[in-house]
Amino acid sequence: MRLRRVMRMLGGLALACGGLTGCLGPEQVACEEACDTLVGECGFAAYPDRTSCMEGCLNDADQGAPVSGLSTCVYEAECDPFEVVACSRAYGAGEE
Amino acid sequence: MRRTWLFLAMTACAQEYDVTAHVDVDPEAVTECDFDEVDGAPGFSAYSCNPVFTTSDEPWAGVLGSTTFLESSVVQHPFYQIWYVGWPDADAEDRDFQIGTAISADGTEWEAHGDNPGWDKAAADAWDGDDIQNIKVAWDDRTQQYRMAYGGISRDYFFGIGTAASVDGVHWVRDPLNPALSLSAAVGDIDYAWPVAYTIDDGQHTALFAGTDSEEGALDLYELTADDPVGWPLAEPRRILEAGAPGAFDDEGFLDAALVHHEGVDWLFYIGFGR
Repeated sequence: MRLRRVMRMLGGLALACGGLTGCLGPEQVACEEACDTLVGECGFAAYPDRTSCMEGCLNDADQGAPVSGLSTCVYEAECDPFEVVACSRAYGAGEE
Repeated sequence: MRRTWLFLAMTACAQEYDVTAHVDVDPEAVTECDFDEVDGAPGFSAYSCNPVFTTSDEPWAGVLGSTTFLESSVVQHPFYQIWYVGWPDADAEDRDFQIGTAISADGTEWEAHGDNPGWDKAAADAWDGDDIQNIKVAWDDRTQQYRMAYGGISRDYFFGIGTAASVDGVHWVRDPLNPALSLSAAVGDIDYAWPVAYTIDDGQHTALFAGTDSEEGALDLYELTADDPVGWPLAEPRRILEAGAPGAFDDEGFLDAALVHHEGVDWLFYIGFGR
């Protein structure tokens, strides 16, 4: 579990530093991680594809949602949809 | 060489995602079956593989009673929660009812919570000991908990509205001040029949009730708003919609309703009933 987490953090660091200009902001890195979990790992049907997930996450970030906390929370939810919704209520836009 | 570096810099900074006001997910893009237009209801489509939820296959919920839904957005994509009253056997004289919850990422495939049922049933002689109807669940962002409004019935046929709270949406604690509102006697000038919708916005608890201000009158739609449901009896009722004109499908009033906020407009969808 710890190794997975370290690998994930290194992945995020690589994402952030991968562009030569280093233009990926912390929100985009957090959203990449969140969508890796929600779409890639968990495969929740709510998301037509990863791009749609990213757009939603970045929109939330644009509106001030703490997506970094959300990303960590959904990762720790281990694909339990009840826990994922609880994460969104705590860190995201929540109920529409 | 300079051109190459410029090209790389541009690709690294290219805007890959469309940051708009809100993601709009086409339900057909995330569900297995198609949607068909509903005759006589322009703009509405029905899922062609309905029903999507009959029972949850839990032994305590062989038969379902009242249900209610709540949509939650996870990075602007809807997840759906359902709460349901259930009891084991349709033929049993005494309904041993409980309340459970399930969740779905697309509205069609449902997963019941492993800790169901989480309702600590009232004593048999309590005001809500015989049955529970018309459950409505809302999320209170201020207190970070779910709140439920429900119609309770006693063995002596007292009808009232109670509320309960839950941090996780599974395990509920009933308000010790219940019943919040009596349905067996007029409150002010109005006889309330049942709750049809419940929302919490910025700490304000708003419920829509079917009710009437005359003995033989049809059930109009009243709105009550207070800081807490126990304040509903003292709130000034606002009649927001009258039952339909005689002969209309809703000339007896309203059974259920849903409030939807879409692009700056509040919409009320309701089930009416007639003579």
